[in-house]
Amino acid sequence: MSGWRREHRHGGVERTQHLELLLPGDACPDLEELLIEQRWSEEVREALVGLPETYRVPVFLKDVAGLAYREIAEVAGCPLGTVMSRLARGRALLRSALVRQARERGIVGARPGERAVR
Amino acid sequence: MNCRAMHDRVQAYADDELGVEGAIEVEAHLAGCSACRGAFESQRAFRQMVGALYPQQAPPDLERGISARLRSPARRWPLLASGIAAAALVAGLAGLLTRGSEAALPSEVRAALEVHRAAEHGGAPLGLASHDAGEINRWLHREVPFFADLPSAETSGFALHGAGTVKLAGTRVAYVLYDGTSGPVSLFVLPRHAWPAMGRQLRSGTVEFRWIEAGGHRVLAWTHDPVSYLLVSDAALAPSQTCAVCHTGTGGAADPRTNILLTGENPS
Repeated sequence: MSGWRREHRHGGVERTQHLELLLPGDACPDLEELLIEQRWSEEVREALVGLPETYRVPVFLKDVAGLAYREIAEVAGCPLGTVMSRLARGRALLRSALVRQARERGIVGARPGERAVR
Repeated sequence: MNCRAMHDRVQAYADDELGVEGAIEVEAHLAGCSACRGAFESQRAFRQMVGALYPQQAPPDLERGISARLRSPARRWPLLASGIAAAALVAGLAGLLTRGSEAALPSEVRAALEVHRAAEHGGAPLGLASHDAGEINRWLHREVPFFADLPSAETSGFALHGAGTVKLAGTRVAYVLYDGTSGPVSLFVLPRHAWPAMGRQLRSGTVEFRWIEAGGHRVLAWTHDPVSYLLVSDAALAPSQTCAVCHTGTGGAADPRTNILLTGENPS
């Protein structure tokens, strides 16, 4: 069994909430495709920079730099389970920020799952 | 095992952190659980989107945050013992994550580039050396469950060299090597869910294409349910030629958008 499972068993980690792991996919399921279509590079960067450092560092190291959980744990100085829960929470926050911004700019519709008419 | 107990493993699987046994266990659960399958797909799509869109330089604030950690005298840095981790971190800190740089690419694409480079140096991971499309198709059908037949490449200017199976970001995929006049061409056949979000995209009929150029190579990806393809070639190879791997004669070049697709430029 891998290290991160052992850590979860032994406790002492931030438990991830059920809904945080399930990214808000029901709110704008096409978000990823739309943002790639719109080339939202700067917006993604700004939203990531806007995250609290606790979440910003693991999300950057995993999703941009491509480090492994173990390596992120070493950088952040926290257990693997904490890396996982912070990643899940950080991604959920990042996605929510992007959904909000996409709605404000009319790239997606106001209701969940609704594409804006362009 | 119930869904709640699977959450951590689904996340780890989406993050390519599970070994073979763990991946098999999660796949078995995902096959019968649409809720967890949806969670897995949304997590992977989101991670790939961030990796693909993140701009070329790490934001100064983010660099400062991580640099401060590196300067902390109280912290030990066993990380530096790990070459890959150190390289990735240094790349991030130095703002060297250029849009086309490999550090920012989806892990499937990075792995495909590594395999292709090995092939360029005569080290392709082949399980079967053959010039015969029929023989390669039969062999790959035995090795990977999702494989779709390759057409013969006899008249395309490319010669089949052999086939194998490789792992791209934890997913076992079919690998086909072609010899061309501008060096080898690597074709990877992936299950649909392993479709990498990267670079620019264009939809042509029912087929969606994506492509990037990195390190002198062009990576072209397209999907055709239930299978996706990654094709790696020398970036100097004429775009229409790479399509000839699978489309003999007029082939992919018959679509006037092909060159726009692959070069980002409209010839007119």
